[in-house]
Amino acid sequence: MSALIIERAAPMMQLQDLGRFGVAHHGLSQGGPLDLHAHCWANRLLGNPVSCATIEITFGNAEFSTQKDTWLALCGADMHATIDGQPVPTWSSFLLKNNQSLKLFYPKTGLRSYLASAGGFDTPTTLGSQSTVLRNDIGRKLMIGDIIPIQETRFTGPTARTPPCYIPNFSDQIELRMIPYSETKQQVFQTRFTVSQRSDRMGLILDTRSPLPTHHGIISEALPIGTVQLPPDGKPIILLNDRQTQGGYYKLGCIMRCDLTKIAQAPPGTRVSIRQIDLESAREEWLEFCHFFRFLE
Amino acid sequence: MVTIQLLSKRLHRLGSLLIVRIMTYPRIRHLSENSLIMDMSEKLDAELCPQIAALAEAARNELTGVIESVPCATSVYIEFNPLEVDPTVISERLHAMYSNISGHTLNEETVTLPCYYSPDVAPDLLALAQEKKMTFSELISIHSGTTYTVCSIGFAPGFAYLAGLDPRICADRHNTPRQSVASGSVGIAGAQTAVYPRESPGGWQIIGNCPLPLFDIQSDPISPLSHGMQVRFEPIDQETFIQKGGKLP
Repeated sequence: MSALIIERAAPMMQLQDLGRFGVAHHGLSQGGPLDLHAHCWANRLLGNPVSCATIEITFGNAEFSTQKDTWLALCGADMHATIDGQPVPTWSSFLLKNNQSLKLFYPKTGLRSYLASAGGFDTPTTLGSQSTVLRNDIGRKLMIGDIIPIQETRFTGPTARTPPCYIPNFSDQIELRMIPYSETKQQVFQTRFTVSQRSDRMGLILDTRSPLPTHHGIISEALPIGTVQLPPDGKPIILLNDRQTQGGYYKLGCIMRCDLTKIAQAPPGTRVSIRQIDLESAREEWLEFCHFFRFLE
Repeated sequence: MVTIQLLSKRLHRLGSLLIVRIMTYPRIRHLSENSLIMDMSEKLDAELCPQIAALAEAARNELTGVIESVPCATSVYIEFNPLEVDPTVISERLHAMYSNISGHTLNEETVTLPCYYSPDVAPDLLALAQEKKMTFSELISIHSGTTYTVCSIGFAPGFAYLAGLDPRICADRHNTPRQSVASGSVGIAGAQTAVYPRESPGGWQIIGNCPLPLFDIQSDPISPLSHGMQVRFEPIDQETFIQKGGKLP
């Protein structure tokens, strides 16, 4: 059996499949890749179903080797990958040979990259998922010396690349499209925000010099990914994969799912503006995404 | 002409205002591309909890394409795979299912949780009794003399919000949450009480400790508590507390 060996670990590196579903009523978070688009492409380039786990690598600086020749794919932020010193393109699959070393450096733009292996990583599941959720004590950060088994596969290439039209540009200024709720106030669309240092896999906090007027909370209810909550300090929080299952803060709306990929790649300091999108248009775009990556198989 | 148009616009607006005022339940709100919520009531009502629990369970087990079904305090949250099911179908089926389970009443079965009420494990017990102008044994008998209903599970895995707290012992959260609340801590916040299933930061007023594990990912069920259940606390002494696995700080 093949395996990936971690020779040097990025500050935050963890296994993620599509997430842990059907257990939110116990209070368990879903998890899953923050940049679903990059995760899905990494699997697609290797002929894997998108349900295979990938390694989510935050802010680069990692090194890997294998015990057997292994096909891998790397998508997301450009971490200037090299194999034995030779550059390897991001958004591409490649063969990592026995005794070779794959190195990733800090990304100049973007924040996260996803490393997939042909056949998928073969790690134990908890309640039906391989996803790590640190705040639920499920799984842990990957560390130096970890050996991650890879499922047997007949995949023999060839190298595949994501067509350029599907590769996003990571910018220091992003616009997010939000599905409004009946209680949404126009002010949110006119306010300039920046990504706060306090952001993590639970949520992205939007800093602003002009905090939004706050409102009373609501009776706690479950929250979809992308929900924009407004706590009493007037600084919105966009809830992400490791979010708590329920919340009672006032809600401004929900960032559409296809725009969450921009959030995953936005380091602290990124400028953010929010604009409105209607539910039907957001749903159409999401359906297209699900079809494209075959979310059923 | 212009006046008539303006008038009809005004009337229309008045109409929508009226609709808001006489909102009927249950009602559906679409939250995102693939999630919606069915509101059952405007305010928390323990009598509704069993129906909410039954509807969430039925949706989880019987509705094709549902990937998450969560009973909440006054609503049921549904997440679905849009390739498998259309939101209008879910909405119709939920309404139909709800009319079938409207008869569900409170479960007679009650879960009893042992609780060691003592300043040894409960940093707020004495101060709270003092604030409420009662002895701490009065406070204990009020807290353990009430049957509660699980009205939601969230915040942390296995953290069950229990509704029905006696108004005489309702209490505000601490202004600044504690960095660490011990596993098993029994707390009060507003009109609710709850057990912290594991050590975590928290702002509830701690009046006791329950030595039973309330969340174990390896066990089946994961937690002895689920939405809509009836719960009582039974006072135990220090010896029993330790016997049942409780730990003194």
